[in-house]
Amino acid sequence: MNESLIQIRALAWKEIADVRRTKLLLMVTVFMLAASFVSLLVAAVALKADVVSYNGARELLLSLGKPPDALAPPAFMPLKLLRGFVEYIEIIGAVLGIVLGHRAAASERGRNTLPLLLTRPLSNMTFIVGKCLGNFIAISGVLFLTFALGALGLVAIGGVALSADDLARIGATFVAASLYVGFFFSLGFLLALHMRRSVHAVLLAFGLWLVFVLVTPQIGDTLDPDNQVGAGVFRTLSIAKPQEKEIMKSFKTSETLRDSVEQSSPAKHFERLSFAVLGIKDTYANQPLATVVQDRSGDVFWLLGLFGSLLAALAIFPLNVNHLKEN
Amino acid sequence: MRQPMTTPQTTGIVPVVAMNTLRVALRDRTVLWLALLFLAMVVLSAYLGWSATNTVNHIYTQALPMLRATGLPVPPNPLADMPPLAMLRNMTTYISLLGALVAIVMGFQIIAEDLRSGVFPLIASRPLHRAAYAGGKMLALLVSIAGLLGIAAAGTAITVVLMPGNPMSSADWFSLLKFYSVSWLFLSAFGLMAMGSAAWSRSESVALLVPVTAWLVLTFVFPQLSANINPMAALNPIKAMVAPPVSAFFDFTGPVLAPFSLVGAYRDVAATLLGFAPADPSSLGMTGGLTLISIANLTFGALTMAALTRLSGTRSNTDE
Repeated sequence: MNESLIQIRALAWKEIADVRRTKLLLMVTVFMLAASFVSLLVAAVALKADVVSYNGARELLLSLGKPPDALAPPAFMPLKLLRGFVEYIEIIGAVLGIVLGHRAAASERGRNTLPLLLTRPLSNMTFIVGKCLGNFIAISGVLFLTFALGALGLVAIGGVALSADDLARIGATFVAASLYVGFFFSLGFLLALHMRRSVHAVLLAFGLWLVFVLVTPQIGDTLDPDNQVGAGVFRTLSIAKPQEKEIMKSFKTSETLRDSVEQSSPAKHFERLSFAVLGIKDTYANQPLATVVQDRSGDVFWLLGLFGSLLAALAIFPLNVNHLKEN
Repeated sequence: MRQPMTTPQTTGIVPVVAMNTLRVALRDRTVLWLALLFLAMVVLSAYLGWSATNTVNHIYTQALPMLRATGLPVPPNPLADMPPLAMLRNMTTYISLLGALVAIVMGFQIIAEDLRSGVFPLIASRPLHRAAYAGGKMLALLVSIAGLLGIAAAGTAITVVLMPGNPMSSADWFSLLKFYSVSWLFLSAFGLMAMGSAAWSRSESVALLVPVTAWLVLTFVFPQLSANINPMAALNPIKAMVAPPVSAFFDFTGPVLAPFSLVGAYRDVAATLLGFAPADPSSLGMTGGLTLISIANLTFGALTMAALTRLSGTRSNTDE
């Protein structure tokens, strides 16, 4: 086997072994699993409350003489129960990526083993690829566990039978989540490798997490007029969708601004893609998976592009040994 | 010759430690950048609130002919009669999001910096009462959070005055002052929690992640468990105040979690003070909310004091 490949494999295995021993990974993973479980449980409870409320309203209308044919039940989209689950991946998955990325560099810096490692016949690229590969395997493993439990939770808590198409959609969301968390891993790793002090690197990484995951979506959300009233402004005014579209034509500039703000957030691309794939967004409900992915190809390219550019930055920027010794 | 035994100093030490901690904190560029981001967002939030309110008013104006054409009674503008401070509603989100994280970073750095730089073993070798050291550190945290919020309040006041069509009465200004005072108490609780965590944990990453996890649980998991508010909806000050679905589950979880929902209590108190939403029926209300925030400060303050007074004099941290 090629010498570089042997080194990459050794580095990757060492990373996986280190990651498994890290308390932080365990902490974030347990938290993500617990939060995902909570989201599924609450979604199932809320759905049951909706069903009870629907049945009550139906019986009332039937008793008032409304014909049963006019009371068609609303379409049930089981994967909609994963909304909170996806949002937790958006928030906590990004933290997982940053924690692993920071750990990959900071553990070597803390022990001052990185300069030692670099005295060996090991290329910059081999080092980066080995570290990234080991951590990507760890990230995929944690996400696979989370998604598998999510799917099982849908069956056990939600009482939903999953079809092959449903599983394919969950699988596509898993791939998107891996890209998204991989982006935050690369960010944490890049900063921890190149900043003079590792504590500043983790603080900056969390600052960027805050901007990308919480602040930018919040601004986008605030700029949406429909979010300014609890039940939605158009619903409160009993304005139908065609009239809503007509009115919103006059707010094209502010809508473009809102969309641009949201486009700058990797979290929003992951969310839009996942919501479309899982049919959480009504316009994509019952559409074939291939059509949905094709329609959301912009989000796919954004996720790939953001992740790829950070990987490229990791590969291009040479390591400065003077930066790699703690204090 | 044997040196006479010196009694640990307490008098006058607290302000000295506090002053020096503040000087060091002001040199930390990462903390300063985070604080600047927070201040910028607080000022921006006032503009965003004003702009969003204006957009809804324009939508209502454009919808009026359509509503009249239906022949049905025209509903009132949903944002009519909203108090002037309601346009600052997004500030509750930024203070509970960015502000809490800035307070966590500040609290963490105040202790971690001494441990990281190896200053702490040196301090421990001096005749200095550990409680005075802890008191000085806590005072520095409380002063720095007060300073940060003071600047934010000044920025908000200027923005509010500059916004057209938003007259403020003296009662509104007093409510704004009360809002920032409650925010100071709220942020102090998170800062103290991070100080305690930094003193307790040997790993810096774990020390930082513990209060961040607690904050994530309080901000996202509790509102979902008690009122079915999805994590991203918790970022919206209006959606975060929506009543839970009618269900025995939420009837049970709401009151059970309310005495621990620090973020929820702050949002309720802030919403009442700014007048943009009625308090959640399952929440603790104004008095209960303020009591919870005060108890959180006392609890985290006592835990931090205990962690700092028991901290080994030889302790210095590494990152792993």
